[in-house]
Amino acid sequence: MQPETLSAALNQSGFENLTFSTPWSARLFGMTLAASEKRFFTLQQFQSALIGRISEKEQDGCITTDDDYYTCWLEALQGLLEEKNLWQAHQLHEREVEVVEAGEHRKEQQRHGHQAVQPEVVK
Amino acid sequence: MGHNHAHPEKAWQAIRTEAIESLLNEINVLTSEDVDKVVRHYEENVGPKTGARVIARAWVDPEFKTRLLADGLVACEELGIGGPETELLHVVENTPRVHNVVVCTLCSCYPWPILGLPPAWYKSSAYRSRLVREPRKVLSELGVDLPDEVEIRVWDSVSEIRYLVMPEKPDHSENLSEAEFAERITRDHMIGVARHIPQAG
Repeated sequence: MQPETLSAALNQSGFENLTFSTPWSARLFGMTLAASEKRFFTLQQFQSALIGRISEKEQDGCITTDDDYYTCWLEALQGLLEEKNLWQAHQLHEREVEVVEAGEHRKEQQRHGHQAVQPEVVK
Repeated sequence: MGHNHAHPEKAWQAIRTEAIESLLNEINVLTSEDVDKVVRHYEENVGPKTGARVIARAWVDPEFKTRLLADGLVACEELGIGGPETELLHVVENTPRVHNVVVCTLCSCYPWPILGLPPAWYKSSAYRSRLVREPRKVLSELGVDLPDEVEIRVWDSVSEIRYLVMPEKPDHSENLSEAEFAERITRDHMIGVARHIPQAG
């Protein structure tokens, strides 16, 4: 990263501006802490998984944005949960398809003027 | 990677996160309320003002300062501050001859319960790799020019220890109250990428 980029990034992040950059990163963070509170894994186990993922990612390039970083976080969490055999691989894929379809359905309803639209994510 | 190219308007990470949460709900590992609770706590209750309160107390109460430097977590508990995410909190004090700065070279360990969430740049490869290699240069780029006689100590949060920098109390500040001190202490002071505490509010 160029010096001015690092400086610019620092100056952008104001004192109060510390919430999550995307709704999905907030959910990921919340899921990880909640699952560790329920002793599904320890935060140290998660940290090791995250370190591993970041190290792999940095072999291909730098982490420069919150999205890069939380993508590593997502892959680390997914890996830890899959080690527990909580679901079959195809189930996650099917659920992703359902998530997309549900989103399309909501949009369709909006196009037709339906008012009762559920928010897609909890803020 | 299963990226959803057919629906570019929604990031594949958002889709996968939602799918994982939905599966976790279904198999009774987590409820959405469990997740909401954590997110709300971090969005609404926790942030650098918490850390500023700790440092300001130490500046006005020398005995508290001694306890804080001896065991950060125990001292924070006195103020009702803490959380399960930090195992050990080591508070490092700046002096006229020493400047402390915190990084996590391997990932992004950070004292969440005390400072809230780390800023984006703290997680960047550039900050994580360069700070250890050339701290004086990085600090200078960030506006902290330190004379050569000031030693820079870089604390790498790789283990279970989290670090918090205690900046130097400004000179001639006897007229300031604890609350006024707290207003002047920023997240960047407590990471160590800022040093000077302004006299004016």
